[in-house]
Amino acid sequence: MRENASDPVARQVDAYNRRDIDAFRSCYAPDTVIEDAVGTILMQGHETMRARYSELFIASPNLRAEIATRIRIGAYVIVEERINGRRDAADEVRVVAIYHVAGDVIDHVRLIR
Amino acid sequence: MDDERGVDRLRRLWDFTDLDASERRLRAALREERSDSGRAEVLTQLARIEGLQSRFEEANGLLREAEELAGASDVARVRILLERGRVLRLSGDLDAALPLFEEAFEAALAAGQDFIAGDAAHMAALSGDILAWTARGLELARRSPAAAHWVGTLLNNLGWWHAQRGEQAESLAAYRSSVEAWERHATYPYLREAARVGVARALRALGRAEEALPLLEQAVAWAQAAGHPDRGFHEELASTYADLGRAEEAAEQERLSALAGPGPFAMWQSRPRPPRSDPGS
Repeated sequence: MRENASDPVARQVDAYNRRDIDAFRSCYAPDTVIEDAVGTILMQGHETMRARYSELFIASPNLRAEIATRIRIGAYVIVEERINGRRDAADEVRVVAIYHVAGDVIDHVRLIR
Repeated sequence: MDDERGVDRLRRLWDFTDLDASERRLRAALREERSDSGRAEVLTQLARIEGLQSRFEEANGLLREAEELAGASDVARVRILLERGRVLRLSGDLDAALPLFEEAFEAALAAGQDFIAGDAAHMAALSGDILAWTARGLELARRSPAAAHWVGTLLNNLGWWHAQRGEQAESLAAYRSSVEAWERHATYPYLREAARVGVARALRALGRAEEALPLLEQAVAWAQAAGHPDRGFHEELASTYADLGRAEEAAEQERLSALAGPGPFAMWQSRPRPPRSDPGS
């Protein structure tokens, strides 16, 4: 797994684990779209993301995400994330996320689960 | 012609674990079609069934019938390109198949048939530059909910490709993603379980047989309960038990693998059928 400062997928996981909303948001384009597996828009734009993730970060002091597996195909980065400590989940949550990277930010996310 | 924009109206007639039932439904649909172009579309699906059973002459005959009926219908033309490509690929001519998949992809996009475009991208990935075509398929899925179905298939292809290259960590990532994607599409449980076996195979190749074991037991249990015992699933479970030093259980799985069928995908291409003289009726 390659993680470095220019990799917005790795950076946003680091920011998520620090519960740093500004650093987290900086990994995303202002008009980022986050969808579920069938294309339903879950979040769109920085302000919505700020509201939703700020709430999560405040309510989940033990939040921890880990990238279990990762592949890159062109502009797409596909990761399996394991998330613990979410205030709304007693057990580990597993999510596959397909990130579309444009330059040094993410501008689209499809959450498979 | 579509249930909704970009969604394949004929897909609901397919059950890839039961070609006979699929064929019956398609033949019933053929009788009910009101237009020549609609009949042409259904004929392409019947051609696919023939091709999956290595009956290429019959498949090509159906596609010729479809061409005569297609008229100016864009979607019928796209289906003909796609199925002609599939027949060529199944008969071993990947070089001839690829341009047809590429043309089908572009024509499907132009016709607003995003689901079929996703199918064409998936087939082009299997026949040409898998990374480039997987990226195109993912790009389409990003833009079009109608094509989101193909994410699981594209990732499954990728898992297989990485495994063939000995890139087990990448294979694991792709197969895991495929399983999760298929969890959202309950209509294709065999594909989900096949991807799960792919995860297990990658884990075992990485020396993580203990993690592979529960996945394989789950896949085997699903296949048995669904009435589709799969030789490949049992073989992989036998190898995993053997890796873990559980010789008796390995032997039992080897015994079951000998009794089980080859699984839907292998069966499609090996099951003998009598010749049919009226393939288009």
